[in-house]
Amino acid sequence: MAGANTRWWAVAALVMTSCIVDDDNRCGTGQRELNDLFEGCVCKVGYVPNADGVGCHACGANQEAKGGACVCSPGYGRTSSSAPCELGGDDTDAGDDMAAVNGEDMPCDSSNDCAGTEATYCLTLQAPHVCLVHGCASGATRCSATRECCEIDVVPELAAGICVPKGACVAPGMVVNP
Amino acid sequence: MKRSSLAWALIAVCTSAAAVLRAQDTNETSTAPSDDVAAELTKLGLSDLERGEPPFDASFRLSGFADFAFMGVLVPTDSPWRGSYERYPAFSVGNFNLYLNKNITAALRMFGEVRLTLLPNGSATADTNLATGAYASTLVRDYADGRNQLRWSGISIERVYLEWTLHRLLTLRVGIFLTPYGIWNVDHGSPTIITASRPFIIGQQLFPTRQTGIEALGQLDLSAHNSLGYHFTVSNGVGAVSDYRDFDANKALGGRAYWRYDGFGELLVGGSVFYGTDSSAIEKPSIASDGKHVAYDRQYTAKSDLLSLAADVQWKYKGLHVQSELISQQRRYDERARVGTINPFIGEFLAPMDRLSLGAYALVGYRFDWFGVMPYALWQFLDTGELFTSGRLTLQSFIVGLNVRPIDALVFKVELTEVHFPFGFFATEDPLRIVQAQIACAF
Repeated sequence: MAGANTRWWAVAALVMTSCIVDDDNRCGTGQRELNDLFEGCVCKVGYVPNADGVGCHACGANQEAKGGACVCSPGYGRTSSSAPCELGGDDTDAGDDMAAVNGEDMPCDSSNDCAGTEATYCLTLQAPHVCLVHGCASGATRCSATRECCEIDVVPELAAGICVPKGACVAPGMVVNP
Repeated sequence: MKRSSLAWALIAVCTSAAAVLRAQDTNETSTAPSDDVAAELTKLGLSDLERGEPPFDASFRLSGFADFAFMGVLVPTDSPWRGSYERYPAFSVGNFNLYLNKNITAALRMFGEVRLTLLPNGSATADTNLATGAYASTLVRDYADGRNQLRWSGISIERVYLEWTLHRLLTLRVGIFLTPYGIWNVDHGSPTIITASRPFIIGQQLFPTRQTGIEALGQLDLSAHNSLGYHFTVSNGVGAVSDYRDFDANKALGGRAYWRYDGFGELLVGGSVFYGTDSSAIEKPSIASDGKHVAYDRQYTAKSDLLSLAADVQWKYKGLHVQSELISQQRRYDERARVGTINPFIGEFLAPMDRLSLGAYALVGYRFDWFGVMPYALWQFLDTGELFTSGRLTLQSFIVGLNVRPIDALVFKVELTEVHFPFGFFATEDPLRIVQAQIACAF
């Protein structure tokens, strides 16, 4: 009987002191804690948010994080966002605009076809069906230099904004600059 | 073979249940509602209506409560609290709740509680709205009244369940029920609670306020003055649509155990636990790989495991009322669903963090016989993170007030609340002072 009581107390103690939060690891991949008036997980220095908003990834060689995107460090340049930054290369990262985006305008039938690229959204509402950068209205993703962010609130999945060629955003779409 | 065995077992269980129900239906001695509901209704002065005294009362009963308040902040005119909380004092209708009760048989009853609310009109509906100050408008043109303006209001289903009392040791509920933890969450009728506002730890939902699923409860008398009770719950858990959907494969489990002693006043000591998953997701349709059909891709917008623990004690002796609860919640995010976004307040990517939230309150009051006057004081502490804004919320608060209950069904309350933020708050570092008066009635 005493043994049974001991077991019950052991179970109760285990429940009351059980812990599912690891105090040393409270954020996701590539993230660090922000403990201020606002709290949460922000990207580590030199990291930027992944396109789906889950975790952060490190910028490549000769790159630095700026405005939530990886841009070439001063003195380096590249021909496209997927190209490596090279010393004295074309300075396509100048300013806040990004270079052409990996996967953008790639033909697709569904967003599965766009997976693994930076243009994760397959536009199937109208032809041509191509992969586009999605989520630019909030600033979570950024449009390249030749594109603008088009927010179409009447279509829920496009309310987050897609990057379309400049001049192609027409009503009910609205160009936004997050 | 296994399938047929299972089928026969199910048939046997259903047949037994039907037989028990028939037997209880013909039993002339009716069974009262479960103890906790009966106690709550008694506090509301509705015991005569709800007790279901013999002979069996099969009539439909409608009762409820309502409260009306006048509230404002006592801070300097240039304090940010005036914009963040409420700029000018205002009258309001807080709760207008209806209880619907029907004893179907002596042991089977249907019980529901709905809150008629002025929401969502005037409420921020998303964190971006909090940043911009925009709020919902329910203004429409009323086709039945010459297309004049009308602001529609909403209904919140607080709880609705079918209850089957098999024995004092076992009552089963199925439906939406208030999570049985601590004292305040179930005793939520404004005429029954002493203060005008709930402690912050209750409002922050460190335990879910309600769940959809099955609840088992019962009570065992150990002696003339001692009894033990329990609640056990299985539910969908927590989430954006947990009232009728479950976006994860597991079910949430919870429970409460308590000891009641009435040999020296009334003493109640309890402990509660909840373990479940908070899941919100969308099922995004797209063209399947065969090019003909539609495939659905589940995308979590948030998913985290929750472990909530609570301890409570309440002691009533003559006019003295002492009550305290300690509640904790641990939230651990699924790495695939720790979805961050640009926080509109800081303009930077911010993802939610695993966290231990903790809070407690202690309430003491004394009810005098003279007009049912009860002065009271409440101290509370809370350390958590706001899910809506990601703002850190660490506070200490003191409340002093007066609760006057001239008759059971009518309560007047006046109270002053002071809130301090030892680590600051995103709106301001200044303390917040709220004054409010409330009238609550049961009907």
